[in-house]
Amino acid sequence: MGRTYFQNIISGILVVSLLSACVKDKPTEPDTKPPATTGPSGNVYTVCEGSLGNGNSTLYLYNYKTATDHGNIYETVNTGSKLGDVFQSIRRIGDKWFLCINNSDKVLVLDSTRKQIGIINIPKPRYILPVSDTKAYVSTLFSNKVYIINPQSMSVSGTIDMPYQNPEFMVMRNNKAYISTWDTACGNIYTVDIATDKVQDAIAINNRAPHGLAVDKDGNLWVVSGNVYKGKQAAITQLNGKDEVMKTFYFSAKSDVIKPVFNLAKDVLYFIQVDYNGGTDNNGIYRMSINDTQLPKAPFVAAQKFQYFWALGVEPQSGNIYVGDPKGFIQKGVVTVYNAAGNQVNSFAVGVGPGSFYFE
Amino acid sequence: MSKSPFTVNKGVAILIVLLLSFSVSKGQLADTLKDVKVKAKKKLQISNDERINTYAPGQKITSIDSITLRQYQFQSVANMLAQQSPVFIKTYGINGLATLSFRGASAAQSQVYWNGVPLQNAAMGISDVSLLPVALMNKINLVYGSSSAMWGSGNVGGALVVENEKPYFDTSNVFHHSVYAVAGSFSQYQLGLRSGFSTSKWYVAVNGFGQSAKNNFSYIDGAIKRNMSNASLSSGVGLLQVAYKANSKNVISLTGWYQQYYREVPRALFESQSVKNQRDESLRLLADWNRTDKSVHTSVKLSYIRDYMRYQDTLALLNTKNASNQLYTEAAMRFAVGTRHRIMIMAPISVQWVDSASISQTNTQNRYALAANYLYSNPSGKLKVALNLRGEAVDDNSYLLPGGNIAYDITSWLTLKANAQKTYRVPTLNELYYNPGGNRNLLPESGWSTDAGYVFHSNSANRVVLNHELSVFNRVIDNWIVWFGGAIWTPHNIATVHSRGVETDNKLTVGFGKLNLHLAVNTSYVLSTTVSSYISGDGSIGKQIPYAPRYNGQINIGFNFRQLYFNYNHTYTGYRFITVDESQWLMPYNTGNVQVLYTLPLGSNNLQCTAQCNNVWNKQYQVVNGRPMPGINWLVGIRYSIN
Repeated sequence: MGRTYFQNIISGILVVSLLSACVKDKPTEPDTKPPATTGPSGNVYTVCEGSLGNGNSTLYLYNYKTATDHGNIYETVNTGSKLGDVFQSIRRIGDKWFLCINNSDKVLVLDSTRKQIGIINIPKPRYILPVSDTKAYVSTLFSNKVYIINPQSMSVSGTIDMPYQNPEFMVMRNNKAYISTWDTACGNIYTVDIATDKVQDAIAINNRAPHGLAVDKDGNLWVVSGNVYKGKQAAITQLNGKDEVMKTFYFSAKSDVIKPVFNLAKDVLYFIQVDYNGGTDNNGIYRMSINDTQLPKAPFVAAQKFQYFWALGVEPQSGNIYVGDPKGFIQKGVVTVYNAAGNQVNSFAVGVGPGSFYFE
Repeated sequence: MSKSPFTVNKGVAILIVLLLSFSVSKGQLADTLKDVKVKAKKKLQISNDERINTYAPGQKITSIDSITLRQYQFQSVANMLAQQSPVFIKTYGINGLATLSFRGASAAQSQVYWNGVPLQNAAMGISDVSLLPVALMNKINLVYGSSSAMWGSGNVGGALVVENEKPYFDTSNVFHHSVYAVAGSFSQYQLGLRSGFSTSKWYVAVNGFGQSAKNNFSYIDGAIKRNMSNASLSSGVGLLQVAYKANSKNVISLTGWYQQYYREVPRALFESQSVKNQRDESLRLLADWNRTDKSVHTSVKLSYIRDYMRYQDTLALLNTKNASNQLYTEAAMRFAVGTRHRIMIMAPISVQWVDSASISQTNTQNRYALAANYLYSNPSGKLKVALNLRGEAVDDNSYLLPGGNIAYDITSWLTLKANAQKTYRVPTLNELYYNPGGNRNLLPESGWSTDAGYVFHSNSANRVVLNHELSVFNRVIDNWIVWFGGAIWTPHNIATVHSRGVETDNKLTVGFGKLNLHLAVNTSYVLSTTVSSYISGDGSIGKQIPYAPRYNGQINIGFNFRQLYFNYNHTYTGYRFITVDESQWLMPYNTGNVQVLYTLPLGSNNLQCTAQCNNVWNKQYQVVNGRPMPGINWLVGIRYSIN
C-alpha cells in the first residue's frame, strides 16, 4: 500500500516534470516591410555584418525624417531568406541595391522594394565602386582581384589584377579609381584607368597596408593604413590632387584606425580607433580638421570599458554623426546619433554587428 | 624544413625521463588485483575510477549500460550522447566539431577524462567528442554537476568519463578475438578488429578500425534540394593495452592510443562553397602502476597526450597547424580507517604547452594540485557523506576548492542525494595567449554549484521494475568568459551566469518470461541566464546563454526477446539561441532513431548483427546555425567474436 502510494507520487512528479513549461519558447516578432523608395528619402540603412561563421547578418532601416525603423528588411521582404555570412557593404546603383556578403561569396542584387532579383558570385566581396551605369568595381578579400560587374546585367564582365592582395576601399577622384590594397607588404595605393580597367600608377603613402580612403573639400585624398595585429602601425596620409604626399600622421603602436568619413562640409575627418581588449585608451570616435598638424588627443565620443565602435557615418541632411556599437558581435547592436557638438540626439537598435551606414 | 607533428622538444623529453625515473625508483608497482574470482565483484562497479565509485555518493552519475554501448559500438560518443543523454551535444554538422554542454555550461566547462586523465585539448580546453569512438570504450559515465575538488579545473557543468577495458588476469589463459564490418548510407564503411589474451601474468589487447565515408547526403537549402559535397571522412584508430602482473600486489599497465581523422568540412548554408579540410591526429600514452596492499592502494599515472590539428581553407588563404601537448602525472593513495572511513589522497601535476604560430611566447601552463577525498559511511550503510578538498596552483595563482556530497537511503528503494562544490575554470592557453586576441588579464571563472535529488528504484527481481531519478541544480558562476569581436575576437570576464534546472531519468521495464519490455524517459529543463554584466546596456541580462537549450529529452521504447534487442529512440531538443540577447535562435527539432541488435550464438563464439536507422522521420534540422544534419540514414554491422 505504502509502496504504491509512493509510486503514485513519483509518477505524478514525473508527469509534472515532463509537462511543466516554466519558460515559454521564443515568439517571433514580425517585421514590417518598408516602403519602396526611388531617391533621397531620409532612409539610413545599417549594414549589420553578423558574426563570422554564424550566417546572421541583417539589413536594418531607419528613417530619420519620420523616426520609423524596420528591422531585418531583407528577410522580411524575401520571405525568410537569409542574407548570409558577414554583410560587408551596400551600394545603390540606379534603381538596384548591391549587397556584398563577404563570407558567402556573393553580391546580392535587390530591386527598389528590396526584393532579391539577382546574385553575382564573387569570392569574398568587400566594397563596390560605381564607375558608370554599366560598370562597377568590386574589391575582394584574400585575392589580388578587383571584379568588374555590369549592374544592368548583374554579371561579372572582367577582373583587374592588383599588385597586392586584399583590394579594399575604393573611391573615384579625377576620373580615376583609387584602390587601396590591405596587404602588409604594400606601401602604395593604386589608380585604375576606368576606360581600360588597367592599373595605372602606384602612389606611395609612407606606410603599409592601406585600407581606408576619403576625399576632402579640396579634393585631397586621405588614406588610412596599417594592420596593428600584424605589426604595421596605423597612419593617415594626405595626398593632394597630384597624388603627392602632403602629410602623414602616425599613430601609437597599439592604435587601430578604421573607417574614415568626412563631415558634410568635408573639412573635418572622423574615424574610429578600436581597442579590442576592453580598454578605453585609443578607443572611440575621433575627429580632426583637414588643417590640423597633429592627431587629436581626446576622442569625440569615448568608448567605455569593454566597448568599441564599428560603424561610422554622417547624415546628409543634418550632418549628425551615426556611430554603431556592435556590443561584441554577440547580440543586437545599437546606433547612437550625435550632433557636431558631440551631444547624443538619438539612438536605435539594429542587428548583430553594425558595420557601416548607407544614407539614401 | 617542416617539423613532424609528433616531435617532442628536448625539455619535455628530459621531463618524461625524470618522471619515469622517479616512478621506477619508487618501486611502487601496484596492483588492482584481478583474479577471475574477484572479477564478478568488480562487475558491480560502474567505473574503474574510485572518485566515481566511492567518493561521489551524492552526485548524479549516469552510467551508459552495456546494451547501449553495443548499440552504438560503430558510432562516436557524440552520436550516442546526443540520442541517449540530456547532455547537449553542440555539433557543427557532419564532420564538424562536437562539444559537450552539461547543465547549461560551456564546452570548456564540460570536461572529458580518459582513464582518469584530462583529455581536453590543451590549447582550447575542449574535447571534440565526435572523435571519441565508442568502439574503444568499455565504460562510459556522465558525472553531472561540479566536482572541481575531485576532478580539477574546468569541471563546472559536469564530466564525461570514458574508460578502456580494465586489464584482468586469468590463470586459464583466455583469448578473445572479434572482427567487424560496417556499411551504411552515404558510402560509410568501417572495418575493425579487437583481439586480446589474458594469462596469470599478462594482459594484452589491441583494438582498431578504419573507416571512410562520403557523407554526400541531400538536404534542403531554402527551397532547393542539394547534395552535400566536400564532406568525406577517412580515419584510422588503434589502441594497444599491455598489462603485467608482477606479483599479487603490483600491476603495471601501458596504454597507447593513436588516431588520425581526415575530414572535409562541408559548406554551411550561408557559404557558397567550401574547400576546407581538417586533419586531426592524436597520440595518447598512459602508463599506470597500481599496488594493492592489505588496506592501502597506491597508484601512479603518467600520461602524455599530443593533439595535432591541421586546418586548410585555400579560399581564405588558411593553412594552420597547431599541436597541443599535455604531460600529466598523478600519484594517489587510498585506504580505509576501520569500516566507516575511507580516504583518498591525490597529487596530480600537469604541464600543458602549445606549438603554434598563433600562440605567443608564453605558451605553457603548469598545474599542481593536492586533493583529499573522505567518505564516511554510518554503521547501517544508509548514510554516506563525502568531503573533498583540493588545493591547486596554476602557474602563479593558487586556489582552494572545497566540496561535499551526501546520500541517504531512506528505504531500500528511495535514496536522497545532495552535492555542493566550489567550482572554477582557469583560462585556457588560447584564451590567454592566442595571437591576435588573447587576453592575459583573464581571471578564472568561479562560483558554487549545488544539486540535490532522489533516486527511486524498485526491486529489480520483480516483473515490473521502475527506476526514477530526479535532480535539481543551481549554479552561479562569476567572471564568465565571453569572446567578443568582429575582426579580432578577444575573451573577457564579462558576466555572472546563473544556471538552474531539473532533470529526470526514468526507466520502466516489464518482464514476460523471455520477453522484456522497456520504456525510458529522460527530461532536462535548464535555465542558464546572465544575471549581471560589466557591459553598459548589455542585452544579455536575464537571457538564456547561446546554445544551451532550455528543454531537451529522450524516450527509449523497445524490447528484448531471447537474443533480439529492439529500441526506438526519440529525442527532442528545444530552442537554441545564437546570440546572448535571444534575438536570434534556431528552431527545436525532433529525431527518431531505431536500433536493432541480434546475437547469434555459434558454440562458444557468436555473431552479432546490428542495424541502426537514424532520423527515421527524415527531419531537416540543424543543431548549430547553418550546418544541416543528415536525413534518414542507415548503418548495419556484423561482428564475429571468437572466445
